[in-house]
Amino acid sequence: MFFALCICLLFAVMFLIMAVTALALLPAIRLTERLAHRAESSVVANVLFGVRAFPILLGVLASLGLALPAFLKFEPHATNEIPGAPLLVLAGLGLALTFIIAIRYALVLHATRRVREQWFKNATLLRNAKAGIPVYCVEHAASLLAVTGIFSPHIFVSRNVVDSLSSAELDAALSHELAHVSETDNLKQLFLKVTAPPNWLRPLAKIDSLWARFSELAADEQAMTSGASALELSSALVKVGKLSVQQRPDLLAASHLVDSCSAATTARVARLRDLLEREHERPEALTTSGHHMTTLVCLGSVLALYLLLLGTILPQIHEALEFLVR
Amino acid sequence: MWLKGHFGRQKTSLEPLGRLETELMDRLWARPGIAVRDLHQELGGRLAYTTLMTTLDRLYKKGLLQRHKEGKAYFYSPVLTEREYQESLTQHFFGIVLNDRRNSGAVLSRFVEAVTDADRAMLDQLDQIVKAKRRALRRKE
Repeated sequence: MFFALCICLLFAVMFLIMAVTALALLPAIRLTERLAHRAESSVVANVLFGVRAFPILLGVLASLGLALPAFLKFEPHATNEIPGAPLLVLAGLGLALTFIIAIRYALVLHATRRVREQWFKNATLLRNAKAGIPVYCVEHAASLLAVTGIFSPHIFVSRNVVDSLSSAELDAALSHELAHVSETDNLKQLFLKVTAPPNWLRPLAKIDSLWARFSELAADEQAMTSGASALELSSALVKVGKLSVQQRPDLLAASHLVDSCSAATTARVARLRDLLEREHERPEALTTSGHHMTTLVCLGSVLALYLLLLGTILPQIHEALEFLVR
Repeated sequence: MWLKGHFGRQKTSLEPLGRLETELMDRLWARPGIAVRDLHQELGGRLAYTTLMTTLDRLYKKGLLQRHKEGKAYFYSPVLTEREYQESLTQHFFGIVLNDRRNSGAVLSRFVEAVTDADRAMLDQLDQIVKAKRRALRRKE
């Protein structure tokens, strides 16, 4: 009974914290959306991802970092407490959510591996980009320029894109993809895909498309600050965009990605046009290292606070858990 | 008979071809409706007759070749023209990435994800600006 109760409590706490935090964050989502156009794209993308990931991370951390130690420390092993209906319902919902996430994770990894294998079948190594990331040229692929992989990324470029772009344009496009790698956007994309909220939770679901748009804008900005010119990047975007339309317009129209991704393309084109028209070849230098440092300091402070307060808050948490069980 | 006509037909395989298969397809696209013996002579005996027959049979089973018998000899022709085959490959490949629901969940960052009609117009405008900029740069030089 001890372990059954423990597992029920862990899933229930996880679900409860996740749901309450997600609801509490709804106003923050609207605020972020309103302020999005006044800040750097990379900051907005990170804030959006943070807002989206926070309820899930907090749920997991509260469950494993607070509920579990409190239960193990204060609950007698010989307990004969029987979980009540509310606890069982919450635990069931938490378990179902975990199951859905696990299934989606397996499906996403399988789909990614399948696409990558297909590309590898027709690929030859073109060169190694910065940081030793290999760039492969894929035969028989239509207007492809993409990066896959999280911990060992690979860039794939189709033959027609290699043939269409000049060397400077290809470098600019590759810089865009390398920016996605340095921002671990594929890892973030994986997280967003496996934890995608249902469509009826519209504000939460909207974050994903907003994040897609701002992460693309941020990748353009980072590419330009790392040396690519707005002119070459614009030219590459025009050529690859037009190739996509020429090759299979019907498929593009059928793609489930169109809504969020077309918004990203629209925003990128508008931003680059603005830069070129105002004679700005490069956006102002970004201070990404500063942002990373702030994030690390915040995480360190939260960890220190957690370790300091753990001893004093565990009894109160155990009391709260008792209330949940009854 | 009708069933055989409809369901017995091989679906064209779009898996990558081996070097020999590619060479034979190239020759058959250049000279469709060729008999195995003629093809063997054309290759100058470089390949064993049985190897050639086995490879042609494999391509037939993959749905890339069709054949008809005249007397004791089989005459092979490609099912698709070279251009149709290349287009099918491209479509197949693009379909895998964008249209296959099983793959739509793949984690990848594309340089251009999707282009709508509105984006096309915007891309045209951006193209004009890029070209004007390039002309201005050339004049400066």
